Amino acid sequence: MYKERIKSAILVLLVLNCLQLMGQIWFNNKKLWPSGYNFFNSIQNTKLTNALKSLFPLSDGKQIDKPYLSTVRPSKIVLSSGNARDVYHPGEEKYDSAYLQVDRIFESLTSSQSVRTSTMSVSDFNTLLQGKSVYLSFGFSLDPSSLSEAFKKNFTSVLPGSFNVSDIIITGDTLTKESIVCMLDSSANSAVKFFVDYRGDEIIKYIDSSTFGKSQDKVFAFELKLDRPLKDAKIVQRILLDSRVLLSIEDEEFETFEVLNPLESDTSSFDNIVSALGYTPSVLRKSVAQDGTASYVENSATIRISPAGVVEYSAVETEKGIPLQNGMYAPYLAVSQVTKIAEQIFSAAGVEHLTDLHLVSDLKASEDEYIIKMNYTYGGLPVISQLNAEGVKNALYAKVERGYITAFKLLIRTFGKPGENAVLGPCITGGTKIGALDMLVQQIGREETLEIQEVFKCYNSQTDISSPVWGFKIKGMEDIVLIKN
Amino acid sequence: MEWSRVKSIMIGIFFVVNVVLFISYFSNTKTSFSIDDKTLESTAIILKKHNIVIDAHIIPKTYQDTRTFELKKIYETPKKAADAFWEKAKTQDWDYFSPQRTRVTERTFEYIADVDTSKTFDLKNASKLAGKIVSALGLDDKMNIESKIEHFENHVKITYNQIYEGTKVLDTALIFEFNQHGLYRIFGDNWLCDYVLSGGISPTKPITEILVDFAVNSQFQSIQQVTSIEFGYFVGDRQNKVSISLIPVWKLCTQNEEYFFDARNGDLL
Repeated sequence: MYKERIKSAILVLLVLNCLQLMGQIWFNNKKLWPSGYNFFNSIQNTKLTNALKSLFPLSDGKQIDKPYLSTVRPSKIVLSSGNARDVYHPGEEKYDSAYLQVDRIFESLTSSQSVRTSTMSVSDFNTLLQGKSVYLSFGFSLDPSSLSEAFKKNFTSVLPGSFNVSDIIITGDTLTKESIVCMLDSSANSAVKFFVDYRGDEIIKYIDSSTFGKSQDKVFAFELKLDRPLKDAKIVQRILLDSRVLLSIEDEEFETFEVLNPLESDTSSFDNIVSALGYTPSVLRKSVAQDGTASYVENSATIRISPAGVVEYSAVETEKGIPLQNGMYAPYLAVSQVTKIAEQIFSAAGVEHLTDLHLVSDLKASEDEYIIKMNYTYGGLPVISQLNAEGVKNALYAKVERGYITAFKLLIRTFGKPGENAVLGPCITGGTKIGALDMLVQQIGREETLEIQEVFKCYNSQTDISSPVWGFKIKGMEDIVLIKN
Repeated sequence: MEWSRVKSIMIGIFFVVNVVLFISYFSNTKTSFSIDDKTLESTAIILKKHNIVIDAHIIPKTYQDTRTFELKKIYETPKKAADAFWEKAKTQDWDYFSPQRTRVTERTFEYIADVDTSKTFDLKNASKLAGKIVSALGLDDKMNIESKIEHFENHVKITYNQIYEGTKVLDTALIFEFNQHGLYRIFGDNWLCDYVLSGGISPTKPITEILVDFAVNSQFQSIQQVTSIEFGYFVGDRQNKVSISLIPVWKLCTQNEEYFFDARNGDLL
């Protein structure tokens, strides 16, 4: 009996010892791992796991995720009925509804066996904006493969590879009941028209019902002839606008909101941010400057994180950069991965969700190099983040060379509680009130003609409370000029 | 009776499981590694082909995972350090670090004493006096240091180095020099007194791998003779920096040059 008790005690001790050792192996000895080492990652990368993954492929490695799709949506959808006009921005219910209409037509266009097509001039393209039309303005150009990924449709079957789509107009023919899709390549000054066998009368009805009760309080620059030089050479022309710049002639009210910098008071997350970029902090040379900016250096790359909220990565050589997944070179894959890195950095900084980003640089097929630029958006409007002291021009900047991210700069910002509404004055006025365009001319004070490529409503994030302003993209100027009206 | 047998079997099974877990645990926590002689000889041969001559015996045979530290300097510049030491010296009625006799550069401070040649000093007391000065002026503030005494003819040199977990910092030093008349020089190189914060353990690369990479990338035209290889910590330039990581390095000395390699990734610093 006594012997049995000893046996039981030994058995209990052995079981406890076994559990303790297992715990030690699984959890406690992580103190001996380099910081940043992830036990589960090491399991994920074992030969066995890789073999299992190849047997049961859960993803083809090209999967494009939601953050990418939201970054490449049209920056605005303009509905025109001929005598009324309405503008929708991402995030608005009406935007989603218009997007759905467009999506159905694109489905029909890309799935049709044969589509009638013809070329058209840019002026004919613009003329369509004066009639019943749905106008999709991206604010950047997309090559056919990127456009296909953005809408999850195969546009490569209807568009030549060299055609970079910057603007799309959809209209309908009530007689033939065809939908007409016109796509513009603004850099090549060429446009193409597709006749789609899909409910043309329905799209006209949709436009009429959506613009019912609206007024024509927004005009395109070409409608005011502000897109062409004056015939009278004696008058000094101060501005020249791009044809499809949309100008507002009425006051509009917008929400204001707080702009927050998560890194301002929390420098403890810097190491986590380095990990999010795929580096192990303990193997980099870290130094902290007087202003709190931390630099992590190795011979092939540098990471700089400042309390101003700027995360900057630069690789010394192309091949030493962050490799794109599966070595894919397509621009949309680069945008997808860059967005994913931004999401990981936000998470490392203790922010649950990535602030909405929108692409502002072109997505064109190129063999060697892409520059990716994105701005934050709030309520569908761009938030302009220009910090000259930190060399920040956009919320996100990335350079991708031959399948490697060689430069990356992210300004971390989150948007807090909405404040009081603020009124944004018109861009142009017919009366005595000064419009934003006049204020721009006064501010710049140049004698020669200002060539304005884009005019848009946006927010200025340089202040703690962001308020609506007019943004002007002027030829020859790197910064967006912001005018508060 | 049956239950007793089951217990015996289970004791046997758990004993075996525990032995396996023990082995697994200790192999996982292994942080020290050794390089076999054949690898050392092969490394020397490869280096020779690239104009680097090295005696295989001076290549360290072992290497280990090392803790990294973060250093926060107490004094912003050598000038500020020397001024602070001078303030303390005045309270002791000493002349050490008096502004007239102290020179500073971006990286160093140097005090040259006005030695009274009529007096004699017993060099056996050099270590004791240096220790007293270090302690009274706070030259070792917040740091863990060790000293090394070198005896020369009519001259003693005492070098203090920072040391953490048994590993020396290779590019900071505080030097006291004595002759038969007394202390004549205090020299500090990158010596700003530091708070030390502990970081994580970092794996290191074997020196053989670093040497081969160095030889292949350097492409020396003339013969380079490696005289010593030492493992230690490296601080580097810390101008305009509040804190900096103390990184494990391999220091390679040739007849003409010193090279520091980051032991974690092989980067030439």
